Amino acid sequence: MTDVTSSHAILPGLRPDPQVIVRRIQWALPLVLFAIVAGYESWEHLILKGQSLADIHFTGEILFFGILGPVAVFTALAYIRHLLGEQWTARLELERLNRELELRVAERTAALEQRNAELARANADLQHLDQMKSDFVALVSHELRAPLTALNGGLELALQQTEALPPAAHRTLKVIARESERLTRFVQTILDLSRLEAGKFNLTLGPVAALPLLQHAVETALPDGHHPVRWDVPRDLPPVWADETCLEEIILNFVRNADKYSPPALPIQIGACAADGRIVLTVTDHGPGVPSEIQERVFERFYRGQRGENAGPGWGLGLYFARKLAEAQGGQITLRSPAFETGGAEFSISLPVAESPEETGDV
Amino acid sequence: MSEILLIDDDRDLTQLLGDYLGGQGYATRVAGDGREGLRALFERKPDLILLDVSMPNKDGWETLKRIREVSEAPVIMLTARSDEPEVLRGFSLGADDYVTKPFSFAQLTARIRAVLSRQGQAKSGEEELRYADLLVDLGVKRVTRNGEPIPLTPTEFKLLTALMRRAGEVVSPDELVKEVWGPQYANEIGHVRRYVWHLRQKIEPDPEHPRYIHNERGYGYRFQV
Repeated sequence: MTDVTSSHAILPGLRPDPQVIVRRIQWALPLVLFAIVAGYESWEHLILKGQSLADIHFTGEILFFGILGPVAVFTALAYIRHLLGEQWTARLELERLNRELELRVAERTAALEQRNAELARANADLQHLDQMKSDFVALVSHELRAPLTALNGGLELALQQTEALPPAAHRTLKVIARESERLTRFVQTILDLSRLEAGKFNLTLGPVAALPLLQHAVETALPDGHHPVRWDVPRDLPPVWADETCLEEIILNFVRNADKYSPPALPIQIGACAADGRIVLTVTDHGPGVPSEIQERVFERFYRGQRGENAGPGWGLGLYFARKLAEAQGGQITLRSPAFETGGAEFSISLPVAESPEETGDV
Repeated sequence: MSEILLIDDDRDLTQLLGDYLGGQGYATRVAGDGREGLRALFERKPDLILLDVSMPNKDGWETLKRIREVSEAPVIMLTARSDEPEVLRGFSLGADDYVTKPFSFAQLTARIRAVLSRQGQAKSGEEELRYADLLVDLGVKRVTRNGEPIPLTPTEFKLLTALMRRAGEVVSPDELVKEVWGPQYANEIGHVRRYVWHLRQKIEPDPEHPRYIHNERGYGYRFQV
């Protein structure tokens, strides 16, 4: 590195050191002044007035104007030089600091750029991995769909010929058909999820009447009616703003869960209420409830409360899918447990009320 | 007996589906790829074609284009992709309906019946409702304006068709509720205005000055272009 502290160093872009010029003037100007005074006084006293060199007027004026004057100039210039020297040193110091700062900024910028590049690379790698994962999931699900079509169709065909089948074979085929249907639903959920996560899931939002949707979902999820259903839905509820099919899917999920965890004969409660421009739809069961430490985890992907032999049927995707679906349409799912003193869980979804038109001439 | 041409490279599926459709009273002819399918189309002149999208040689889209150059027979696409752009592409190429794998045979048979009956009725225009540039396909539940699809919720679709079927007449909110939700949901009457307002936002070129759905103050709504 160049030694920028030396006062003699001439840095690129800087003018030459002004002290050098002042030093030259400091010596030259008194000498010139002395020469002028000596010349003038000699001409005046020796030639015009005819005085001798020892004359007091001549020597006095030479001493006063020719020596004391230049000495005063010399001293003043020395002081100016000193001031200039200080300024020059300060300037050089400033330049040095500037350069050091620039160097440090450049180093930091380079480090930052390198880190940014590393982050961008890591981000691209992660995106690539995520894409690979999505592609893989889509490919596997896609490849499963064709054989599932043949499998389901074959079972449908076989089950049509009830009288030709021995009862045991018929029962077995029914079980296989049920499992195949479950697998089909799972594949569909996985595909929907990968579309939701990739932001490619198409929603059709519109006003939806809550009561008919809730009643339809309950009829679908609880066809055999081994749980009584208690309704607490106000009759004049305004429509919610949602994707009808997806909202029904979410409610179906809640009701199926309630059905799975409620002891037989205990009621499942279906409720709805409007508050603060939103509508909350709730499904409450009288099951064992969800312990507070796992309440957030039940919405995680593939999370299942019970594992191993005690685990009920399911893939651990239902609530995760429901939450993703709800979020995609501006909804929010919450879980409250225990819902009663004896336990129970209340799953609810809150959605905005469908916008109301201004008072127009409408009916 | 209606004859169905089944173009799919999945031999297991075509065999099972052929048997099933046979049991439902349809004659089937199977082709393993697009070229074979086109040959069978010339020979047999089927009443309906079931066409798989992913096939070797000529894929389903390519085959559909060729079919449409020579035949008006209805085509139901069998697709493993349910993404919107794929489906729209199918319709733009002239498909009449589509089912996404895995489908149940009973569901497919219902679609076949619907498409065939639509085909029979299309001449009298009963299975689609068209007023000016607004077209409602009742079979696939699709609404387009000037060929541009308008996504509607199932409720909005029912509301629109309820009004369109009685075009020119005034339909009261009471009647609309009975038709769209059912008589047991009379409480929805108070919200009909809101449903209609949202429907207008989607189908009207200028919702402030409705072109299709008009108010008859104190009576109801009238669909008229």
